[in-house]
Amino acid sequence: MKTQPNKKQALRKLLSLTHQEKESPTDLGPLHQNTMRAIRKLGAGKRTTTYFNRFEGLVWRLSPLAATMIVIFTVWFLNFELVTDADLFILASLETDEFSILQIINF
Amino acid sequence: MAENSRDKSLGAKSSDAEIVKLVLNGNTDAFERLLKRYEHHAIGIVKKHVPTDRVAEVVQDAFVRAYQSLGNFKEAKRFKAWLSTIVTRTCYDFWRTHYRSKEIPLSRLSIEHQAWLEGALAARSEANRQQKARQQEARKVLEWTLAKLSAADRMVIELVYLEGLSHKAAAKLLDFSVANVKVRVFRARQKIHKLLLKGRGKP
Repeated sequence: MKTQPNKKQALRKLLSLTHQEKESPTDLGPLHQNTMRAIRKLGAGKRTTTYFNRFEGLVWRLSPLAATMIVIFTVWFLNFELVTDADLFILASLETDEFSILQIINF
Repeated sequence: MAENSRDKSLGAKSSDAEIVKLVLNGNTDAFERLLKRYEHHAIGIVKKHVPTDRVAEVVQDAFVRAYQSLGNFKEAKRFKAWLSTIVTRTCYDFWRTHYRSKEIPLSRLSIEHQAWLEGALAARSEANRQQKARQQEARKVLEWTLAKLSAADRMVIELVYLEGLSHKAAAKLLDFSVANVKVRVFRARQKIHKLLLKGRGKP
């Protein structure tokens, strides 16, 4: 019964050792120069001027203001007397005068 | 001019964050310092995951990606850890691309490799096992086994099963969930055992 787990352990050790014993590349060629050439081709400073980066910075800077605005609007909206469709119908049938949108929303 | 003078003022011990700032301000040449500082670290990671003749190409690709992502680097994070993540993901992408056009490995191990595996598994001492692991057959058997796995399973099994990283660390490096890594390790390990222990090279 014990042979299978032992074999599994032995296999893992063997494969791990092989993985770690992998030889290092002897010649990587002009890795430095090639990498820097590729990077210079991309151009400088593009990352800082992207619209997404600017927007990302702006979102966090404006988040306290946005939260305050949400609270103010919520309170204002809760104090608002909403007019239902039925009320509007009654108003329109009783009131023969023309009324504006501001009257409908009780402004 | 101002950037160049600042570049010169940065000493050999200037922090990674300072260099990153300089690069982000438009001094592309300053990136070379980071390249020199972490080149060997990147090669060390890449050589474990990709074939030796493709190491230079993958390392270069990883540094180019790091340069392109510098805007996302946060000073609080260590640059080395951040770079390791990019390098590991570049290795994973290498295999994803490679697997689309890969040759199908032989359905079973050669008799010679099967015999070698029998002998290696029966090795009693650690020294004997190490000696076996250095042999050419060991690499062939490992490569054959890994080629049977998918790109994601291959990366996960290399990090967890072969290098001994925790599931969490591997998940972070590959940007997978921990549960995903656990499931992949379990399935891939079963497959390896089936290939090398039960079936002796049968698919």
